[in-house]
Amino acid sequence: MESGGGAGWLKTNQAVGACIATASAVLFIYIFSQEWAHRELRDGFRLGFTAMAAAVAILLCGLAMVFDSQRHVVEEDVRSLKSADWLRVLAVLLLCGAFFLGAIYSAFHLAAPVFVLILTYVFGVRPWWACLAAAVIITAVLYGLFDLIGAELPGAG
Amino acid sequence: MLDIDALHMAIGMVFQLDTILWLAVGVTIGVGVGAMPGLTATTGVALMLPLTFTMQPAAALGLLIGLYKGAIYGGSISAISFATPGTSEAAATVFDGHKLMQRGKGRKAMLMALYASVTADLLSDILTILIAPMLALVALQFGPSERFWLMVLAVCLLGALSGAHLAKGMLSAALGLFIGTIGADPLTSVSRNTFGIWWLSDGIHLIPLVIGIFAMGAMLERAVEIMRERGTTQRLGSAMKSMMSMSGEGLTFREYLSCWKEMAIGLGLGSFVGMLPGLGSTVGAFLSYSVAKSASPEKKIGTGRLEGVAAAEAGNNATVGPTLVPLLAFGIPGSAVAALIGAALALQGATPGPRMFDLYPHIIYSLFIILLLGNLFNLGIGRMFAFVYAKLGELPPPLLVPLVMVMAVIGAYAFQNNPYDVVVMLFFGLVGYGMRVFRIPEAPLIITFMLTPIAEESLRRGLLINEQDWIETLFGSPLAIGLVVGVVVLTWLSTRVRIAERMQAVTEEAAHSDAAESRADGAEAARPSSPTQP
Repeated sequence: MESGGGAGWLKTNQAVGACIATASAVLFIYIFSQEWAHRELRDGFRLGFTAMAAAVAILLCGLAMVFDSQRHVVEEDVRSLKSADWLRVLAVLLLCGAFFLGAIYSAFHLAAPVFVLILTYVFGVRPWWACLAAAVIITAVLYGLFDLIGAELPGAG
Repeated sequence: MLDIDALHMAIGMVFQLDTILWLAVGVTIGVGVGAMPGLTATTGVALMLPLTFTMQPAAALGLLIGLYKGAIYGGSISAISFATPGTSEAAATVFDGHKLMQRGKGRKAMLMALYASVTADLLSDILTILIAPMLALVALQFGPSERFWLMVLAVCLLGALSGAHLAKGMLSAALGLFIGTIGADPLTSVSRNTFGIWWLSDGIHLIPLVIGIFAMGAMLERAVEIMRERGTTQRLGSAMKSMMSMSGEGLTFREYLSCWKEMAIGLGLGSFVGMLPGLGSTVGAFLSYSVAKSASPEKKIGTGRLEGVAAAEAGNNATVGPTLVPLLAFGIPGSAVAALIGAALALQGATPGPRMFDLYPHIIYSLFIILLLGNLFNLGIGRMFAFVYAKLGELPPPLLVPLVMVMAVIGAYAFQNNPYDVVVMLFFGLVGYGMRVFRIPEAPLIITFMLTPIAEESLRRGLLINEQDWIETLFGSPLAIGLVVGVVVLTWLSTRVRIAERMQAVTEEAAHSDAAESRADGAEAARPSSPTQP
């Protein structure tokens, strides 16, 4: 935890709090504008009461981050965070999604080795046959584990 | 009162091949999870949770509790071996444990860590077994409004004590509250807050949420680190070297007994910290280590002493049983792992809470027996395989991350064979990554998410009983007023005293003073011997 000197305001807790407060205000307005939120239930409770209360709670916490004593603090991980890191995260998530779709439309034991092979190679494991060995071993171990437990794997049916 | 029939039934449920096998598997996986830096007890339990609903209740509890106990102890293995704590709970073990290792006393340190862990864990489990039923009797006297305020108090405590920044702890709780409102209304089942997405009308399920927040979030963080560094190719080559030369002198019974004071400190503080929502085993370990160090300055804890290992390990393992006390007595999980164990019980049809002692005494007794039995397995498996697990600590992250990611995707899907659960899990993986980067604690989110429908139901039942009179519902009894005062005082104290920041300061102070001592030791060792020295 460091104070925000050279990191720029955008990386401070204050900026994060401001973003959260704005997003929660938009969320509150969205929920408030919905017809379901004002619908009265049999017990007299409004359907949107808890959701709106939650949006207000998020708003208050965001505002607290804007004004509290730690507002100028930049967390260590945020300081070193680059936009490329978010792209990396999204790429890995997309790869996970592709693996799942692959498993659904083909089979787990076909999609999993490809997923592990790509990911280990991207992570810098060399030589390539080490990636291949890892892919085969990890898939076999997990296939055995899920089979033992009786969990249904995607694409199995 | 002890229900003998239920106890017999519980003994029958636990001492089955199936349960014993899953308990052993849980401890075995748990010690491995703990020994591998990057995997925590929560990640392990989150990944295993979807696999438990096909099991019998005792087998499911055996797997999860065994994993939890094993993981808390397992962190000490890599902490002692490589000065890289497998879990944050074991960070305090590094100070003395690794110094002992450097002096060729690694085996002694590992055995001390194991025995201190098992001793404190066992005694704190007995404490749990004694306290939880008594508190449940008190909880049974609570009406809907008292239950509502108790949950609000727990959430405030959780938000205030989780992490060093109060606003972030409370933000996490508020996010959990919001996510908990997505889906069906708890009393009327009318769909709400679904953003027009039809498959959200059933709500967000706990399993994809916890797998996303804890397992996927942690692995995304790890993946980013790996892709930034790319320095892992060499590690793969060197991963399987070293460690097997862990022969050396063992631990004598006299040495074990000489650490009774530190183990007692760990037991007392760890049990207390475990029962409070939000603090967790890392605080238990550091608090116990700091108190033991200042209580006996003559022992020079921090310079490679068995007493330091005993204090830290007793402190973290003593939280394991007591963390279940608020769950069993009030239905309020005190930690993320307790929430997951609560979810496993709920999946088995036994919703945790004070009435569980009346409705499902056989499951409660099974849980108690498994808590005690888990220590024996921890002792046996830890004693036999600690040195093998030490090698596991060297498993390269480029292999670990894909393994956990595949398990996360399949675990989220296997829960109810619903592809949308995978989408939810991936979304919360992104949220979890963001929370880790911005240091927003995850536990309040999960626990508040679980409490939201129960709290809302309690409030609305109170309103129904009191004919929509909000004042009477919220402040209608002395106990409710007392709890409201508790909430106000706690919130005020959290902003004024900054309990969590002080806890963090104790942790950092312990870490810094020991790092300074390590540097001094290193300088001493590096200095060329002078003729004037004796």
